[in-house]
Amino acid sequence: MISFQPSPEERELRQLAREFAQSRLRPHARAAERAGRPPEALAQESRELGLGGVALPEGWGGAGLSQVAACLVEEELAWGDPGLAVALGLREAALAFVADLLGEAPAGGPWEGPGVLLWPQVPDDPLAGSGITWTTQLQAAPQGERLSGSIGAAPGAQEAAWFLIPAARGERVVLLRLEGTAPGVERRPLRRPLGLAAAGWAEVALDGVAVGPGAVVWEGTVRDPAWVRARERARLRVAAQLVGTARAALEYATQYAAQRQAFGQPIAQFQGISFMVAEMAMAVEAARNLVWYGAWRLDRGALPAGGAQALLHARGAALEVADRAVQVLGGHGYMADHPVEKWLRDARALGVAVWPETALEVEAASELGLAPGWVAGGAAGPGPVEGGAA
Amino acid sequence: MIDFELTETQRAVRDFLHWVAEHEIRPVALQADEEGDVPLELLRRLKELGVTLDTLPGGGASGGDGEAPEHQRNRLAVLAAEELAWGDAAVAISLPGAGLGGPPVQLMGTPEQKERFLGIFRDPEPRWGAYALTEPEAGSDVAAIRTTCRKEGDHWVLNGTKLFITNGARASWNVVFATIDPALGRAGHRVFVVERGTPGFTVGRIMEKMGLRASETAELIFDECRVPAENLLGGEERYRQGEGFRTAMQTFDGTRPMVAAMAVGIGRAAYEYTRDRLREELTLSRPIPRYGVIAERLSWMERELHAARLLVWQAASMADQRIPNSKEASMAKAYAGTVATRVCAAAVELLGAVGLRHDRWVEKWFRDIKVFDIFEGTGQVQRLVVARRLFEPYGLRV
Repeated sequence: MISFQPSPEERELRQLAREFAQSRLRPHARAAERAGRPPEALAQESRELGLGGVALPEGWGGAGLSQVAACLVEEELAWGDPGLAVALGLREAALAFVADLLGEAPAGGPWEGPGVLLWPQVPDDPLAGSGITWTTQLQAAPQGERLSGSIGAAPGAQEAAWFLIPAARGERVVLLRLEGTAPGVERRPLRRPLGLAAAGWAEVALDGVAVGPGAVVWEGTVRDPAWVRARERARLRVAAQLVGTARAALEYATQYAAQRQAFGQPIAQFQGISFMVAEMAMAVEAARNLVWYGAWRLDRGALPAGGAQALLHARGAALEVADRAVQVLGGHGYMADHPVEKWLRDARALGVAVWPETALEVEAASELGLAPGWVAGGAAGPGPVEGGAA
Repeated sequence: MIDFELTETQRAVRDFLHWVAEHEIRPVALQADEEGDVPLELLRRLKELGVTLDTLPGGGASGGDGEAPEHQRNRLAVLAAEELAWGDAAVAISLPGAGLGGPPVQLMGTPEQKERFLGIFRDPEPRWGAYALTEPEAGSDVAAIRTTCRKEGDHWVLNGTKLFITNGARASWNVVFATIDPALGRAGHRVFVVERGTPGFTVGRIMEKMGLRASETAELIFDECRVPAENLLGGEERYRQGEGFRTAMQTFDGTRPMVAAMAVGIGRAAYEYTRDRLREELTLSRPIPRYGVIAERLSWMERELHAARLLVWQAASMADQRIPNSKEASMAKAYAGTVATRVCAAAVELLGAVGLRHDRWVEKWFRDIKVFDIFEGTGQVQRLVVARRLFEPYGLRV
């Protein structure tokens, strides 16, 4: 039965995340941005709460709940601070990807310590829609294979003890696990990225890194259901974070507009402002619904679940809402005294760097059956005729 | 719990109405648009099939009977509305039944009035009710209506003009909003059921329109129109606290999601038609770079329509769950009106010059959709409603 009301358990979980976001993330946001990492005490607290791994299977140390529940939590955490939400969830996001590929129990580990999933896809991917073109190359060498290539900018790469990196092996894709200290891995910290600085960014260069048999976590094709599922989950996670960022900006701008006086009245009394705020609210609501819909489909095993469409929408909505929030605050919005300028930068960064899948538009189109040749009439995706049918 | 599963009933209704839209409505839609009228045979046939506005909230003639504990009328209604409008929106809003006139009678009518005015829809012949609120000088500003009413013995005498009244001429009765004194604003409003043939009530112009041409849009003239006192909805006591205005507004809480669903239905029709046409016609001529642009555009159309649909479902499910939804209903209406209009414009553009041909449908949908950002509360009014809800917690009335 169509319903948009979370269950009592989901509400409770959301409340827990909301309180953590309000009382712990908000106060540390600016300092963590300057430091390029979350305070250790906060990271410890976050690990104990386990909010980053809501949908991660229990065997992987997660709570094993639904993707819908995970999206509720991710929205709240990003509402608290997008940079901290990303930074504190890097490891769980990487584990979630592996868990979808490998199933319930950990294998090919160890998975302790900070880790991050890198996504070295070329920006103008000619294979998008049917395959993926990586910037990394796996080459045969006398003693096993070697990986070379570079990732220009990756949040979380600075402090990671291990990396997950996809690479092409002929027509297939392999997911590799590399130690951050392995010979040939070089990282250069990136100072002052546009947004999400708390996640500790770095440029990663791989120069003939030895890939032993133990390094291959998974091998398959990008059409394997496990890979599609992992990718959908990653998209939805970021989409939910974008919704949270947008909602933070909306709420801040609403309150400001209600209190700020100009021409003798609160600026909310001007429809130039109040209509803008109304449209921001609509954008947030619409984006959230698409995220929920995709998550619900994923929970029911539908693949693809609509993650590409949800992420595309959330990306646009968050950018627009955060931009308008800065606009509502005017000159104040542009200053670091208020968080909206940060959220605008974070929204832009979230949309392109945390799940840096490129050519998402092409992916979305091909999921709707609009791939070159237009083989299927929308049979794969959440097409309008299918509506609520899974 | 967050859920998007359709119930068996919902699925069955949606599938049945899609069949009706495709096999009964579409075949006559273009001609109906040309002739500016829906053939009576079609409306009779649809009534035989059980497809009337009374099956949707707003009709009300069939309301209240044996609803499930968590009733699903609003959800059913929006699923139905999307399919019917996918077939043809002008036909959908011409369907027999009480239409927008239903809710005021349901909300305010005495048991006797409900039987008298809603009972007529049990007749096997198509019949209509209509809702006459808008005036030449009062659209969004409902409180500014100038049609007057004064009590004379056991009658009320109405004077004024109502405009843009859907099904107003063919209706067996119109729910007419009038005021005892324009200076009183909302408090002066009274709501009457004015039957066809009432002395002093005449139909003026039938409007020519940009779109929805097969739908009847009438001007109603009241010139010393004598309405029996028993046609004042609910009786005089009901009006002590401005109930007339509240009723006018409450009607829209239930119907806005439905109208928004219709906008989604038109947009979806345009999206699907464009997608399929391009697939058939352009395969050989389309250079690769152009393909990417078209695919991106089409997936944008689908995305926005689905976002609008989910807002509609959200507002409807909240109504079914008895959760106040005026903000969500207005969001759905504003969002759907905006994106469906853009989608239909994009459809014409993607098809190029042939997209302007009458037999290529999209020009019609482009004309039809525009009013969905206007009637049942303009896009601006919806934004105002949303803004009011947003600033309420700060003690501000914007």
